[in-house]
Amino acid sequence: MPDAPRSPTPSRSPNLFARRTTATTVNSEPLNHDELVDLLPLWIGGDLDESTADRVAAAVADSDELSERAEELAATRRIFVDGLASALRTDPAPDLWPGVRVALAADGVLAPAVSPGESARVLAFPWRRVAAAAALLVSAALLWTAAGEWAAPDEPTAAGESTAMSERLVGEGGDTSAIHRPAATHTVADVQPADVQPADGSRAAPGGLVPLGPRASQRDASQLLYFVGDGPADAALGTGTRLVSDVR
Amino acid sequence: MDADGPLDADLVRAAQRGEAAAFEALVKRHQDRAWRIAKGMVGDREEARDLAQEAFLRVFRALDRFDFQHEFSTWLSRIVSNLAIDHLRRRRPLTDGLEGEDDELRPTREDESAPRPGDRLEQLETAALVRECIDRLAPHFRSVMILRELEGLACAEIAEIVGATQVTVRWRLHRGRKLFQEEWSRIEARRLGEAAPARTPPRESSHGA
Repeated sequence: MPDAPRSPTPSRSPNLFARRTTATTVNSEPLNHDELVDLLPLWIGGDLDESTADRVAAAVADSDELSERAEELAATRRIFVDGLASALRTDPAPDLWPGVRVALAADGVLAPAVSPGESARVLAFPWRRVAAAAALLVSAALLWTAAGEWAAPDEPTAAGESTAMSERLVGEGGDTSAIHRPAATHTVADVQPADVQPADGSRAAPGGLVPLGPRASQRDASQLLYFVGDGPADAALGTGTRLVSDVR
Repeated sequence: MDADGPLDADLVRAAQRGEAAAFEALVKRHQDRAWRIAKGMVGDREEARDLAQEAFLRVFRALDRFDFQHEFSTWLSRIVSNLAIDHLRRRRPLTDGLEGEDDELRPTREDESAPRPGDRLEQLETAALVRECIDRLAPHFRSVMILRELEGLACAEIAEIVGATQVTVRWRLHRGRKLFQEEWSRIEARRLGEAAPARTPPRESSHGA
């Protein structure tokens, strides 16, 4: 182990340095002490040409001081290598391909594909956005065609019969099976933003589409739509789209 | 390098034709090295991951310009190394780098208020101290030392990677080893001072003011 720090070796010119470290410029001049000291950091790493290395080795063998300096340098070199290797052993290389592929897919230069165990968050991102946008467009078109029905007067309901709101959930993965469940006793006009909880703060108007903005889970951020009102909107739903429709 | 499976050059050609599987094979074959270089250079895991990943993206985008006279691994290492150097230079520098090959490295004064390690140097603690020393080296010293000491590359290949002459590479290697030794000696002196503060006189910093 090195004890006290030595004074920094004066910086030498690269030309002088090259003279001693390239095989093509071997010369037979004797190496003076300063030059030998200066060559030790390369000698301990085997980075000198053979001729120069032999001369340094001979000088080190004859000099306790040079030998001690060389041992210190070699010891710290081992510390450098062992320290780095130890850090890498405890922190193995991650698999970079999933991230690379996602980035390339986002750039449009590589077709996205899903493989088991892959990061769904990143991979699904473009697809979910596209699905959400498509669902929004189709739902809006259907809403447009159903506008006449919305404007027509409702059939009278039986006394005491409450208007129910059903919520349909179309699950992820394109599952179009609907879950019907009676909801609160709202009429269409009674549907309040709190009933649909749009994340972007927009109001849920009867017959309107309320896109939900980012929620707690970004994974689902762009795929949730609320459809308020009654109509054949379920046909327009895309993956993971949530429908709230009023049924009378 | 290519003992198992197709040659890198063949994979590059296939990737140039648009075969994603070929590029995937290149990534998986060389990601360990890219990771080691990036991690060795910057230390932080997430930063290293980002740098290594960005290097592969740049490789992909420049595949058409790949020079088949060179090794793919050399090309990749150069990109990783350059990205890491740029990244380190954007950080608040701990040291002044060399403007020219004749300049001296002038490390900053040690932060005496920084937390000090304990007395026992376990393996991980040693790694952390090594990291501390490396972080005080200018980026171009780091890259050469990591490529030589960790990757075991010859000076000629390192020269190709870092875009310098072999003489410059040896110069940086020489200075890097010396500077690392000085930094390590300073840490050793600090540890000795902690272990026996009453008996060990404070050592003078090798870097002075």
